[in-house]
Amino acid sequence: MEDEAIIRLLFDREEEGVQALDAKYGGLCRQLAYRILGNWQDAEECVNDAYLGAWNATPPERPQVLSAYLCRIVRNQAVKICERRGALKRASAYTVAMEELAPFLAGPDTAETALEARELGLLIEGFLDTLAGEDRVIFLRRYWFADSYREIAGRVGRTEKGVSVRLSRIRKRLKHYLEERGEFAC
Amino acid sequence: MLTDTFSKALNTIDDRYLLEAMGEGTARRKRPRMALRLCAAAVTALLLVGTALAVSPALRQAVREVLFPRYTAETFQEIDAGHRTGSFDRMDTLFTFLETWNRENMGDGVYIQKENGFSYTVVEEEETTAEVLVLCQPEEKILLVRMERIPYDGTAGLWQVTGYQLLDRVEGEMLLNP
Repeated sequence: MEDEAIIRLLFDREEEGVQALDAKYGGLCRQLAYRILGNWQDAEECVNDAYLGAWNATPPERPQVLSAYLCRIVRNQAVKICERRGALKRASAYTVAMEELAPFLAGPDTAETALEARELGLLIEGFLDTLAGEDRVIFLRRYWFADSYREIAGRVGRTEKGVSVRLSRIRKRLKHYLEERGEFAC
Repeated sequence: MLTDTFSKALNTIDDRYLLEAMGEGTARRKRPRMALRLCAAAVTALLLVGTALAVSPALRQAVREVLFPRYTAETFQEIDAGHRTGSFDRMDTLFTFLETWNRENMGDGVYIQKENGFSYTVVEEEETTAEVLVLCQPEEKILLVRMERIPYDGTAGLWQVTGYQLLDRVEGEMLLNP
């Protein structure tokens, strides 16, 4: 079913809209949630919560791109669950990926940034714009979608080692970019 | 924790970046597999070579010389084994060689036509080299003979046959019509 038709169903408050969402994007959403939470049961719950979130938000929201909209809700939900777990959080692809980033986002005199998430998001967009297309994909597949190195390698046609080296360079560039702009000062 | 802040911020980036990462945007390019890249390179190379061959007679000649080498090691051995004759006259050198060819059956059943004299065409000639195509019997074959003028004290030099090759008639005619 076309995205427009699904959105129309959601706007008309037709439950078939949620079924259509699941049919078209359920696999993608569950995979993303699983990578963040590390458990299929939790992932299933998370995705169901995300559908509820989409149902409640639409209308008045009208997603421009349904896949990205839904993934964003799923990720947000899953990351919140992850945070709530705190020290008890299960190791997952997402936590491993974030641990990779940690050294590049903190320094000896690290202070919590007061920036709103959106402001920091704009900064990240600026950084992404400095990257070549393939590097952007590699970075986001790793730190947004929490893909494994193997999955990323298959997607971009490189070896796992190649992806690892690329990501290492991108992280260094990210650190340098943020330091230049006074964020996450070392 | 900074990674949490960063992760939340990541969630706010514009859809276009996510679409690109999902393969639905314009910037995503999966690197073609090596085999495909090699195929593409090979096809491109063939097209370029084909075009060059079509427009350059010199290149066609050079390619021909690589694909259809004129002189074999065996050929040069025969020449060096004593079939080389020398004369101050180029055509005299050629005719003597052709007579020897027929007499000694150098072509192993392929003879030089001599009904009304030898039938030959000069393919190339320089001051000290010449290549000549000679008609044979059976007619499907043609003999390419290379001659050189070797320096000889007090003279303009001696013409000698320095190599030869039996070709198919079609190949030989390609040399006449590059």
